Amino acid sequence: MVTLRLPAVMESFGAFRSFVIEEMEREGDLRELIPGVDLVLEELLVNVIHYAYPKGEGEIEVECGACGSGKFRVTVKDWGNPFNPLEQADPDVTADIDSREVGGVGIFLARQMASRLNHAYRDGGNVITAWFEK
Amino acid sequence: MDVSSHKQDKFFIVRVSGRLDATTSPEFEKSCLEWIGQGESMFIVDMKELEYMSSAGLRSILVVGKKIKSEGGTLAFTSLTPNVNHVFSISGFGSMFKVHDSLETALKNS
Repeated sequence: MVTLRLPAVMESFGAFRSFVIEEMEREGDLRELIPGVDLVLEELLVNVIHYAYPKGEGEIEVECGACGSGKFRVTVKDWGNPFNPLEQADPDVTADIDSREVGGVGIFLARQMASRLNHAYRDGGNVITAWFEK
Repeated sequence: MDVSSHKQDKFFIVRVSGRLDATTSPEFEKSCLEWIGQGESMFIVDMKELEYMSSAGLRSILVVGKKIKSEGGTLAFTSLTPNVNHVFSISGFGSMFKVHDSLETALKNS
């Protein structure tokens, strides 16, 4: 597993993304998982950047690596208030354009793309773990 | 992300390429809202070269779609790549909007 910790701002997004994709490419046989990991990583990071630190600055730590043949794991940690975004209600994906609400799709997409998602509050921070499997 | 546009008959074709993510979607949304403000109303968005879309891209598309509808216009999409098609499908956008296989089909059926 490799780890990168950066400020929780949109400017960090590109560096986190490169860090995770490069780790997957280094593993070689995980290429087909990249589109899903790419999307889930963005949704989890954006969620932390927008909501974890309402009163000021904070950091995000991303840890990732292969975890068995054809499997990859990403964790995103913040030190904001305890909050489990996975508990939020799913959007109504059958609504027409007039009644469809703007937003609320990110975590829903992440849940569809990852094999499994889990939230825990530990060591003073929110830890979301996403598992991907071929 | 690159976005460009041209008129073709009565249609306003928008070509978007690269990635529609949290960093690039605001620019796409702003361009589209400006074109709507200039009076364009029959939009076809060509996504042949769009590799990636996240919820931020969907959000911008919904904002633009609602605005076009409120102005009495139309919005269709063509040539979705597999990744983008997957995101459209699971988010319900594939059934909320008209999606065509090719620009030619979109021009004939919009």
